[in-house]
Amino acid sequence: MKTFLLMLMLSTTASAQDAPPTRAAFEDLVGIVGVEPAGTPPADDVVEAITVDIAEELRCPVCQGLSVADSQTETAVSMFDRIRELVRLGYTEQQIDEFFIGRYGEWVLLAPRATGFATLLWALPVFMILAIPLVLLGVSSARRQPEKPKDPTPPGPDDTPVDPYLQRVLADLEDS
Amino acid sequence: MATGRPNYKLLVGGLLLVVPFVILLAVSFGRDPRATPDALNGQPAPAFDLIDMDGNPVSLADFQGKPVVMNFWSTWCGPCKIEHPLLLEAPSHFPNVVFLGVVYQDDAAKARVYLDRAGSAYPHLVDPAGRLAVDYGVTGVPETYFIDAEGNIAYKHKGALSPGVLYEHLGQP
Repeated sequence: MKTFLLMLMLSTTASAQDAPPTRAAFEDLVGIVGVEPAGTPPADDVVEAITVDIAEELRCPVCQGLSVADSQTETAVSMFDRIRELVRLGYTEQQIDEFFIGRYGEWVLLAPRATGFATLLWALPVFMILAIPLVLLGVSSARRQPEKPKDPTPPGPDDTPVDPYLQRVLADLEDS
Repeated sequence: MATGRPNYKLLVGGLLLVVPFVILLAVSFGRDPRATPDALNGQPAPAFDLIDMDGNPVSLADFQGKPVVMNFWSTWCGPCKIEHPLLLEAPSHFPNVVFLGVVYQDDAAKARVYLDRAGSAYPHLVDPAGRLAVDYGVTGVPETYFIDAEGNIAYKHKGALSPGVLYEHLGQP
């Protein structure tokens, strides 16, 4: 079903896909994106595959739970068409992601990048997997370990004093 | 009741497990899951060359040096109809501000019928294939962009406009 809908969507936009961008259209698009394409325009027969790959990683802002590739809302279709235009001009996946992040924020990425607060999302599960066994190990060893007995014998008269001043006083007393 | 030295290893271990979770939950539950960030605020407004509903070409570059209020709307949007009377009045209150409407995901003929009935005080642009909406990061309607005289997006308002929002972002007329 998903493939059928995708084919339907692609067939309805085939005319736009076949038309090469004019110089003016190219300059307009570069002006909108803000940077020149970093890559070279791909062959026509791989444009759609690249477009779908990129669209699958971007969130549809209307339905939110679906990717741009999966959603059939007009907004998603418009985004899909924009991705295709950018791919055809040679924009890289990273540049296209940046274009949409610049409009919708990092939120538009279905898989958040491991930067800033999102780092916590990636690091926390790993941290938990490592930390839980350590804590459990600590608890069980603390339970097994018998409590150290307190020193029952206070220092007796035979104990050697450690205070150097006291040692000198004692030595003086013995001499006298 | 047992008293004695607390098990510091256990305490620190437990805190290391619990504190990140509490922070994560506190931050996450404080967010609106449907909210989308206004990533373009402070950025140059994307340029456009479009045709309005009367067939006249309209370009953002035509309005250099003037603040622009650009309102995305559609006939199927309830809040758009609520704010429409305010937008009809607004150009007369803010004569130095350019007001533009952009028909979003709607049939231009339906929009024409609606504007003939409800009135129109400024040009309304046709956005073929919704490209302009994508370039501005529109997530729904109504959404209104306040573009300053330098051509930067100063503020994006989601939902129906109120007089207070206009006065706050356009100043006293």
